[in-house]
Amino acid sequence: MLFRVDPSSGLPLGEQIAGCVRGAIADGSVRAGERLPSAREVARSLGVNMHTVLRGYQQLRDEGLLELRRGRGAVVTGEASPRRAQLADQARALVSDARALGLTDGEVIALVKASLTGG
Amino acid sequence: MTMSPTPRRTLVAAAPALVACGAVLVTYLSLRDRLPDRLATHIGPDGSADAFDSPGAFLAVIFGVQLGFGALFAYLVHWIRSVPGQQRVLAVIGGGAAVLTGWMVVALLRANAAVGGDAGDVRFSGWQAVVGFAAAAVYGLIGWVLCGKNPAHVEAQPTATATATAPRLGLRDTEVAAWSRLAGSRTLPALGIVLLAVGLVIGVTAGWPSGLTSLVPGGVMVLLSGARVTVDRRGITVTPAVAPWPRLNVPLERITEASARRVDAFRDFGGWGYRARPGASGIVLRSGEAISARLTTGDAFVVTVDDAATAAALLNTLADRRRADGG
Repeated sequence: MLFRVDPSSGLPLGEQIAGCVRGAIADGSVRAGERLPSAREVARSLGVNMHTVLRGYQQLRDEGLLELRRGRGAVVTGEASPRRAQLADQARALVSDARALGLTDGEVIALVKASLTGG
Repeated sequence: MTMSPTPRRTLVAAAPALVACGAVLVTYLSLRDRLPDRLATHIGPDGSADAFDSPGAFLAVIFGVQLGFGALFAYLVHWIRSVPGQQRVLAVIGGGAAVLTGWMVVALLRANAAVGGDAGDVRFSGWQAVVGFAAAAVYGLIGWVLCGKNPAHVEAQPTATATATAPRLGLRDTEVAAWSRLAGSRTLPALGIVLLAVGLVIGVTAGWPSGLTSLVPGGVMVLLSGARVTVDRRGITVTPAVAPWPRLNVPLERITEASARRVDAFRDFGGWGYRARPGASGIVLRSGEAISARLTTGDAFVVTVDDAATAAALLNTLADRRRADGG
Protein backbone atom coordinates (compact mmCIF):
# COMPACT_ATOMS: atom_id res chain seq x y z
CA MET A 1 0.00 0.00 0.00
CA LEU A 2 1.55 3.26 -1.18
CA PHE A 3 0.85 6.47 0.74
CA ARG A 4 1.75 9.68 -1.04
CA VAL A 5 0.81 13.14 0.16
CA ASP A 6 1.70 16.63 -0.97
CA PRO A 7 1.75 19.13 1.91
CA SER A 8 1.87 22.01 -0.60
CA SER A 9 -1.46 21.05 -2.22
CA GLY A 10 -4.64 22.72 -0.98
CA LEU A 11 -6.24 19.41 0.03
CA PRO A 12 -6.02 18.57 3.78
CA LEU A 13 -3.41 15.84 4.48
CA GLY A 14 -5.94 13.57 6.21
CA GLU A 15 -8.09 13.68 3.11
CA GLN A 16 -5.08 12.89 0.91
CA ILE A 17 -4.26 9.86 3.06
CA ALA A 18 -7.88 8.65 2.86
CA GLY A 19 -7.68 9.14 -0.91
CA CYS A 20 -4.57 6.91 -1.10
CA VAL A 21 -6.31 4.07 0.75
CA ARG A 22 -9.50 4.47 -1.28
CA GLY A 23 -7.48 4.39 -4.49
CA ALA A 24 -5.59 1.29 -3.35
CA ILE A 25 -8.86 -0.51 -2.56
CA ALA A 26 -10.36 0.66 -5.86
CA ASP A 27 -7.44 -0.65 -7.96
CA GLY A 28 -7.30 -3.92 -6.05
CA SER A 29 -3.83 -3.50 -4.58
CA VAL A 30 -5.37 -3.62 -1.08
CA ARG A 31 -8.04 -6.26 -0.41
CA ALA A 32 -10.79 -6.84 2.12
CA GLY A 33 -9.43 -8.09 5.44
CA GLU A 34 -5.99 -6.61 4.92
CA ARG A 35 -4.41 -4.83 7.84
CA LEU A 36 -3.09 -1.33 7.19
CA PRO A 37 -0.19 0.14 9.16
CA SER A 38 -1.33 1.89 12.33
CA ALA A 39 -1.93 5.65 12.24
CA ARG A 40 1.19 6.07 14.37
CA GLU A 41 3.34 4.14 11.87
CA VAL A 42 1.98 6.06 8.87
CA ALA A 43 2.56 9.35 10.70
CA ARG A 44 6.18 8.43 11.42
CA SER A 45 6.76 7.26 7.85
CA LEU A 46 5.41 10.44 6.27
CA GLY A 47 6.58 12.83 8.95
CA VAL A 48 3.07 14.13 9.68
CA ASN A 49 0.96 14.37 12.84
CA MET A 50 -0.68 11.13 14.01
CA HIS A 51 -4.03 12.88 14.43
CA THR A 52 -3.89 13.89 10.79
CA VAL A 53 -3.62 10.24 9.77
CA LEU A 54 -6.34 9.27 12.24
CA ARG A 55 -8.66 11.85 10.66
CA GLY A 56 -8.11 10.19 7.30
CA TYR A 57 -8.69 6.72 8.76
CA GLN A 58 -11.87 7.89 10.54
CA GLN A 59 -13.19 9.27 7.27
CA LEU A 60 -12.66 5.83 5.69
CA ARG A 61 -14.40 4.20 8.65
CA ASP A 62 -17.41 6.49 8.14
CA GLU A 63 -17.46 5.41 4.49
CA GLY A 64 -17.59 1.76 5.60
CA LEU A 65 -14.20 0.92 4.08
CA LEU A 66 -12.12 0.61 7.23
CA GLU A 67 -12.59 -0.90 10.65
CA LEU A 68 -10.64 0.80 13.43
CA ARG A 69 -9.89 -1.31 16.49
CA ARG A 70 -8.18 0.03 19.53
CA GLY A 71 -4.72 -1.51 19.77
CA ARG A 72 -5.29 -3.64 16.67
CA GLY A 73 -4.87 -0.99 14.03
CA ALA A 74 -6.90 -0.50 10.89
CA VAL A 75 -8.40 -3.40 8.93
CA VAL A 76 -10.09 -3.11 5.53
CA THR A 77 -13.72 -4.23 6.01
CA GLY A 78 -15.27 -7.22 4.29
CA GLU A 79 -17.62 -4.89 2.40
CA ALA A 80 -14.77 -2.81 0.97
CA SER A 81 -14.78 -3.90 -2.66
CA PRO A 82 -13.13 -1.91 -5.48
CA ARG A 83 -16.61 -0.79 -6.64
CA ARG A 84 -17.49 0.37 -3.14
CA ALA A 85 -14.28 2.44 -2.93
CA GLN A 86 -15.06 3.97 -6.32
CA LEU A 87 -18.54 4.83 -5.07
CA ALA A 88 -17.06 6.65 -2.06
CA ASP A 89 -14.81 8.53 -4.48
CA GLN A 90 -17.82 9.51 -6.60
CA ALA A 91 -19.61 10.77 -3.48
CA ARG A 92 -16.63 13.00 -2.70
CA ALA A 93 -16.58 14.23 -6.29
CA LEU A 94 -20.33 15.01 -6.07
CA VAL A 95 -19.82 17.06 -2.92
CA SER A 96 -16.87 19.01 -4.31
CA ASP A 97 -18.72 19.71 -7.58
CA ALA A 98 -21.78 20.90 -5.61
CA ARG A 99 -19.61 23.15 -3.44
CA ALA A 100 -17.98 24.59 -6.55
CA LEU A 101 -21.46 25.47 -7.81
CA GLY A 102 -22.20 27.17 -4.49
CA LEU A 103 -24.77 24.62 -3.21
CA THR A 104 -25.30 24.39 0.55
CA ASP A 105 -24.97 21.08 2.44
CA GLY A 106 -28.75 20.98 2.80
CA GLU A 107 -29.17 21.36 -0.94
CA VAL A 108 -26.70 18.54 -1.64
CA ILE A 109 -28.57 16.20 0.71
CA ALA A 110 -31.87 17.23 -0.87
CA LEU A 111 -30.39 16.43 -4.28
CA VAL A 112 -29.29 12.95 -3.19
CA LYS A 113 -32.67 12.33 -1.50
CA ALA A 114 -34.46 13.33 -4.67
CA SER A 115 -32.38 10.78 -6.62
CA LEU A 116 -33.15 8.11 -4.02
CA THR A 117 -36.94 8.63 -4.12
CA GLY A 118 -36.91 9.07 -7.88
CA GLY A 119 -35.02 5.76 -8.30
CA MET B 1 37.46 -20.56 -12.11
CA THR B 2 36.98 -23.66 -9.98
CA MET B 3 35.08 -26.71 -11.19
CA SER B 4 31.65 -27.21 -9.71
CA PRO B 5 31.80 -29.82 -6.93
CA THR B 6 28.26 -30.99 -7.72
CA PRO B 7 29.08 -34.11 -9.81
CA ARG B 8 31.51 -35.35 -7.18
CA ARG B 9 29.06 -34.66 -4.36
CA THR B 10 26.28 -36.44 -6.24
CA LEU B 11 28.51 -39.53 -6.23
CA VAL B 12 29.24 -39.15 -2.51
CA ALA B 13 25.47 -39.00 -1.85
CA ALA B 14 24.27 -41.75 -4.19
CA ALA B 15 27.11 -44.25 -4.75
CA PRO B 16 26.77 -45.91 -1.30
CA ALA B 17 23.17 -46.85 -2.15
CA LEU B 18 24.36 -48.74 -5.25
CA VAL B 19 27.23 -50.37 -3.36
CA ALA B 20 24.87 -51.32 -0.51
CA CYS B 21 22.43 -52.93 -2.97
CA GLY B 22 25.34 -54.90 -4.44
CA ALA B 23 26.51 -56.02 -1.00
CA VAL B 24 23.01 -57.08 0.02
CA LEU B 25 22.59 -59.06 -3.23
CA VAL B 26 25.95 -60.82 -2.88
CA THR B 27 25.23 -61.65 0.77
CA TYR B 28 21.79 -63.01 -0.12
CA LEU B 29 23.12 -65.18 -2.97
CA SER B 30 25.92 -66.62 -0.84
CA LEU B 31 23.64 -67.42 2.13
CA ARG B 32 20.61 -68.44 0.10
CA ASP B 33 20.66 -72.17 1.00
CA ARG B 34 20.81 -71.49 4.73
CA LEU B 35 18.12 -68.80 4.93
CA PRO B 36 14.68 -69.67 6.40
CA ASP B 37 11.65 -69.57 4.05
CA ARG B 38 10.32 -66.58 5.90
CA LEU B 39 12.97 -64.06 6.90
CA ALA B 40 12.96 -62.16 10.16
CA THR B 41 12.77 -58.61 8.78
CA HIS B 42 12.40 -56.53 11.89
CA ILE B 43 13.97 -56.74 15.31
CA GLY B 44 12.13 -55.60 18.43
CA PRO B 45 13.72 -53.61 21.25
CA ASP B 46 14.61 -56.85 23.14
CA GLY B 47 16.76 -58.10 20.26
CA SER B 48 14.37 -60.78 19.00
CA ALA B 49 12.53 -60.82 15.67
CA ASP B 50 8.99 -59.39 15.58
CA ALA B 51 8.21 -59.17 11.85
CA PHE B 52 8.63 -61.70 9.01
CA ASP B 53 8.42 -61.69 5.24
CA SER B 54 9.44 -63.72 2.22
CA PRO B 55 13.01 -63.09 0.98
CA GLY B 56 11.74 -61.75 -2.37
CA ALA B 57 9.46 -59.15 -0.81
CA PHE B 58 12.10 -58.16 1.72
CA LEU B 59 14.78 -57.65 -0.96
CA ALA B 60 12.35 -55.72 -3.17
CA VAL B 61 11.58 -53.32 -0.31
CA ILE B 62 15.27 -52.89 0.57
CA PHE B 63 16.31 -52.24 -3.04
CA GLY B 64 13.41 -49.85 -3.52
CA VAL B 65 14.28 -47.88 -0.39
CA GLN B 66 18.01 -47.78 -1.15
CA LEU B 67 17.67 -46.78 -4.79
CA GLY B 68 14.83 -44.39 -4.03
CA PHE B 69 16.75 -42.57 -1.33
CA GLY B 70 19.90 -42.61 -3.47
CA ALA B 71 18.01 -40.92 -6.29
CA LEU B 72 16.35 -38.49 -3.89
CA PHE B 73 19.66 -37.38 -2.38
CA ALA B 74 21.29 -37.13 -5.81
CA TYR B 75 18.43 -34.85 -6.81
CA LEU B 76 18.66 -32.77 -3.61
CA VAL B 77 22.42 -32.34 -4.05
CA HIS B 78 21.82 -31.06 -7.56
CA TRP B 79 18.89 -28.91 -6.50
CA ILE B 80 20.72 -27.08 -3.70
CA ARG B 81 23.89 -26.51 -5.74
CA SER B 82 23.85 -22.75 -5.14
CA VAL B 83 24.29 -23.27 -1.37
CA PRO B 84 27.51 -25.33 -1.30
CA GLY B 85 27.76 -25.55 2.49
CA GLN B 86 24.41 -27.28 2.80
CA GLN B 87 25.05 -29.32 -0.32
CA ARG B 88 28.08 -30.89 1.35
CA VAL B 89 26.10 -31.78 4.48
CA LEU B 90 23.26 -33.26 2.39
CA ALA B 91 25.67 -35.39 0.34
CA VAL B 92 27.32 -36.82 3.45
CA ILE B 93 23.99 -37.53 5.17
CA GLY B 94 22.64 -39.28 2.07
CA GLY B 95 25.72 -41.46 1.69
CA GLY B 96 25.98 -42.20 5.42
CA ALA B 97 22.33 -43.25 5.64
CA ALA B 98 22.85 -45.72 2.76
CA VAL B 99 25.92 -47.17 4.50
CA LEU B 100 23.97 -47.62 7.74
CA THR B 101 20.99 -49.26 6.03
CA GLY B 102 23.21 -51.51 3.91
CA TRP B 103 25.20 -52.60 6.92
CA MET B 104 22.10 -53.41 8.95
CA VAL B 105 20.49 -55.42 6.14
CA VAL B 106 23.64 -57.49 5.56
CA ALA B 107 23.90 -58.13 9.33
CA LEU B 108 20.22 -59.11 9.43
CA LEU B 109 20.65 -61.58 6.55
CA ARG B 110 23.62 -63.15 8.35
CA ALA B 111 21.62 -63.38 11.58
CA ASN B 112 18.83 -65.13 9.63
CA ALA B 113 21.30 -67.60 8.15
CA ALA B 114 22.84 -68.32 11.56
CA VAL B 115 19.68 -69.89 13.09
CA GLY B 116 19.40 -72.53 10.36
CA GLY B 117 15.69 -72.77 9.65
CA ASP B 118 13.40 -71.08 12.19
CA ALA B 119 13.29 -67.31 11.78
CA GLY B 120 11.56 -67.01 15.17
CA ASP B 121 14.88 -67.81 16.82
CA VAL B 122 16.72 -64.95 15.11
CA ARG B 123 18.64 -62.80 17.58
CA PHE B 124 20.24 -59.53 16.70
CA SER B 125 22.78 -57.84 18.92
CA GLY B 126 22.50 -54.14 19.62
CA TRP B 127 26.18 -53.99 18.82
CA GLN B 128 25.37 -54.46 15.15
CA ALA B 129 23.57 -51.12 15.25
CA VAL B 130 26.52 -49.50 17.01
CA VAL B 131 28.92 -50.86 14.40
CA GLY B 132 26.52 -49.75 11.65
CA PHE B 133 26.46 -46.20 12.96
CA ALA B 134 30.23 -46.25 13.31
CA ALA B 135 30.57 -47.37 9.68
CA ALA B 136 28.22 -44.57 8.62
CA ALA B 137 30.28 -42.06 10.63
CA VAL B 138 33.53 -43.26 9.05
CA TYR B 139 31.94 -42.95 5.63
CA GLY B 140 30.72 -39.49 6.63
CA LEU B 141 34.29 -38.38 7.33
CA ILE B 142 35.62 -39.85 4.08
CA GLY B 143 32.69 -38.43 2.13
CA TRP B 144 33.22 -35.01 3.70
CA VAL B 145 36.77 -34.97 2.37
CA LEU B 146 35.73 -36.39 -1.01
CA CYS B 147 33.13 -33.61 -1.37
CA GLY B 148 35.94 -31.10 -1.71
CA LYS B 149 36.07 -27.53 -0.51
CA ASN B 150 33.13 -25.22 -1.09
CA PRO B 151 33.82 -22.92 -4.02
CA ALA B 152 34.82 -19.51 -2.67
CA HIS B 153 32.46 -17.56 -4.90
CA VAL B 154 29.23 -18.93 -6.23
CA GLU B 155 28.27 -17.16 -9.42
CA ALA B 156 25.45 -14.67 -8.75
CA GLN B 157 22.42 -16.81 -8.00
CA PRO B 158 21.17 -18.08 -11.35
CA THR B 159 17.50 -18.09 -10.31
CA ALA B 160 17.71 -14.52 -9.11
CA THR B 161 17.19 -12.71 -12.36
CA ALA B 162 15.91 -9.18 -12.02
CA THR B 163 12.33 -8.80 -13.20
CA ALA B 164 12.50 -5.02 -13.23
CA THR B 165 15.63 -2.95 -13.49
CA ALA B 166 15.83 0.05 -11.23
CA PRO B 167 12.56 1.81 -12.05
CA ARG B 168 11.64 5.09 -10.38
CA LEU B 169 8.38 6.25 -8.90
CA GLY B 170 7.45 9.69 -10.24
CA LEU B 171 7.15 11.97 -7.20
CA ARG B 172 6.76 15.72 -7.30
CA ASP B 173 9.42 17.60 -5.32
CA THR B 174 6.90 18.59 -2.66
CA GLU B 175 5.42 15.11 -2.33
CA VAL B 176 6.24 12.69 0.49
CA ALA B 177 5.58 8.98 0.12
CA ALA B 178 5.73 5.78 2.14
CA TRP B 179 4.97 2.17 1.31
CA SER B 180 3.93 -0.51 3.80
CA ARG B 181 2.75 -4.07 3.52
CA LEU B 182 2.44 -7.26 5.54
CA ALA B 183 4.65 -10.12 4.40
CA GLY B 184 4.61 -13.78 5.29
CA SER B 185 2.23 -16.68 5.46
CA ARG B 186 -1.11 -17.05 7.20
CA THR B 187 -0.58 -20.69 8.12
CA LEU B 188 2.58 -20.23 10.18
CA PRO B 189 1.11 -17.82 12.73
CA ALA B 190 -1.95 -20.07 13.03
CA LEU B 191 0.35 -23.02 13.70
CA GLY B 192 2.22 -20.93 16.26
CA ILE B 193 -0.99 -20.09 18.08
CA VAL B 194 -1.95 -23.77 18.17
CA LEU B 195 1.49 -24.57 19.63
CA LEU B 196 1.04 -21.82 22.24
CA ALA B 197 -2.36 -23.25 23.21
CA VAL B 198 -0.94 -26.78 23.43
CA GLY B 199 1.92 -25.40 25.53
CA LEU B 200 -0.55 -23.77 27.92
CA VAL B 201 -2.51 -27.00 28.32
CA ILE B 202 0.68 -29.02 28.87
CA GLY B 203 1.93 -26.36 31.27
CA VAL B 204 -1.20 -26.50 33.40
CA THR B 205 -1.57 -30.28 33.38
CA ALA B 206 2.03 -31.54 33.31
CA GLY B 207 4.07 -28.66 34.66
CA TRP B 208 5.60 -25.59 33.06
CA PRO B 209 9.01 -27.03 32.15
CA SER B 210 7.26 -29.49 29.79
CA GLY B 211 4.92 -26.77 28.56
CA LEU B 212 7.89 -24.64 27.54
CA THR B 213 8.86 -27.16 24.85
CA SER B 214 5.70 -26.11 23.02
CA LEU B 215 5.39 -22.50 24.22
CA VAL B 216 8.84 -21.36 23.11
CA PRO B 217 8.68 -22.54 19.46
CA GLY B 218 5.05 -21.37 19.31
CA GLY B 219 6.02 -17.89 20.48
CA VAL B 220 8.94 -17.70 18.07
CA MET B 221 6.71 -18.85 15.22
CA VAL B 222 4.05 -16.23 15.92
CA LEU B 223 6.69 -13.53 16.31
CA LEU B 224 8.67 -14.26 13.17
CA SER B 225 6.19 -15.70 10.69
CA GLY B 226 4.62 -12.39 9.71
CA ALA B 227 6.42 -9.13 9.14
CA ARG B 228 5.49 -5.56 8.29
CA VAL B 229 7.75 -4.17 5.61
CA THR B 230 7.96 -0.39 5.39
CA VAL B 231 9.76 1.73 2.82
CA ASP B 232 9.99 5.43 3.65
CA ARG B 233 12.42 8.27 4.28
CA ARG B 234 14.18 6.03 6.82
CA GLY B 235 14.90 3.30 4.24
CA ILE B 236 13.62 -0.27 4.58
CA THR B 237 12.25 -1.30 7.96
CA VAL B 238 11.06 -4.79 8.87
CA THR B 239 9.24 -5.54 12.13
CA PRO B 240 7.17 -8.54 13.28
CA ALA B 241 3.53 -8.09 12.28
CA VAL B 242 2.36 -8.47 15.88
CA ALA B 243 5.00 -6.46 17.74
CA PRO B 244 7.07 -3.32 17.17
CA TRP B 245 10.24 -5.17 18.14
CA PRO B 246 12.73 -6.53 17.03
CA ARG B 247 13.15 -3.92 14.30
CA LEU B 248 15.51 -4.31 11.38
CA ASN B 249 16.35 -1.13 9.47
CA VAL B 250 18.51 -0.44 6.42
CA PRO B 251 18.77 3.35 6.03
CA LEU B 252 18.65 5.06 2.63
CA GLU B 253 22.30 6.12 2.77
CA ARG B 254 23.35 2.46 2.69
CA ILE B 255 21.26 1.66 -0.40
CA THR B 256 22.62 2.24 -3.90
CA GLU B 257 19.84 0.68 -5.94
CA ALA B 258 16.75 -1.47 -5.45
CA SER B 259 14.88 -3.87 -7.71
CA ALA B 260 12.17 -6.47 -7.55
CA ARG B 261 13.21 -10.06 -8.09
CA ARG B 262 12.04 -13.58 -7.45
CA VAL B 263 13.75 -15.67 -4.79
CA ASP B 264 13.56 -19.34 -3.97
CA ALA B 265 13.79 -19.47 -0.18
CA PHE B 266 15.48 -22.86 -0.03
CA ARG B 267 17.63 -22.71 -3.13
CA ASP B 268 18.85 -19.12 -2.78
CA PHE B 269 18.96 -18.86 0.99
CA GLY B 270 18.83 -22.42 2.31
CA GLY B 271 15.68 -21.87 4.34
CA TRP B 272 13.29 -19.38 5.85
CA GLY B 273 13.59 -16.56 8.38
CA TYR B 274 16.43 -14.11 8.82
CA ARG B 275 19.02 -15.41 6.37
CA ALA B 276 22.61 -14.36 5.97
CA ARG B 277 25.00 -15.82 3.45
CA PRO B 278 28.01 -14.43 1.62
CA GLY B 279 26.85 -11.59 -0.62
CA ALA B 280 23.25 -11.47 0.53
CA SER B 281 21.18 -11.28 3.68
CA GLY B 282 17.58 -10.55 4.47
CA ILE B 283 14.17 -11.65 5.65
CA VAL B 284 12.91 -14.59 3.60
CA LEU B 285 9.47 -15.76 4.72
CA ARG B 286 8.46 -17.50 1.51
CA SER B 287 9.58 -18.00 -2.08
CA GLY B 288 8.50 -15.49 -4.70
CA GLU B 289 8.53 -11.75 -5.16
CA ALA B 290 11.08 -9.81 -3.11
CA ILE B 291 12.65 -6.38 -2.76
CA SER B 292 16.37 -6.65 -3.39
CA ALA B 293 18.42 -3.63 -2.33
CA ARG B 294 22.02 -3.37 -3.45
CA LEU B 295 23.98 -1.89 -0.55
CA THR B 296 27.00 0.40 -0.62
CA THR B 297 29.07 -2.58 0.57
CA GLY B 298 28.12 -4.45 -2.64
CA ASP B 299 25.97 -6.98 -0.76
CA ALA B 300 22.26 -7.44 -1.34
CA PHE B 301 19.54 -7.03 1.29
CA VAL B 302 16.44 -9.03 0.40
CA VAL B 303 12.90 -8.96 1.82
CA THR B 304 10.21 -11.21 0.39
CA VAL B 305 6.96 -9.28 0.05
CA ASP B 306 4.19 -8.80 -2.55
CA ASP B 307 4.11 -5.70 -4.76
CA ALA B 308 7.90 -5.47 -4.40
CA ALA B 309 8.16 -3.51 -7.68
CA THR B 310 6.35 -0.50 -6.18
CA ALA B 311 8.48 -0.65 -3.04
CA ALA B 312 11.71 -0.88 -5.06
CA ALA B 313 10.69 2.03 -7.28
CA LEU B 314 9.91 4.19 -4.25
CA LEU B 315 13.19 3.17 -2.65
CA ASN B 316 15.12 4.27 -5.73
CA THR B 317 13.30 7.60 -5.85
CA LEU B 318 13.90 8.25 -2.14
CA ALA B 319 17.58 7.28 -2.43
CA ASP B 320 17.96 9.60 -5.47
CA ARG B 321 16.33 12.40 -3.54
CA ARG B 322 18.63 11.85 -0.60
CA ARG B 323 21.72 11.93 -2.84
CA ALA B 324 20.43 15.10 -4.56
CA ASP B 325 20.04 16.74 -1.14
CA GLY B 326 23.75 16.11 -0.65
CA GLY B 327 23.03 13.54 2.05
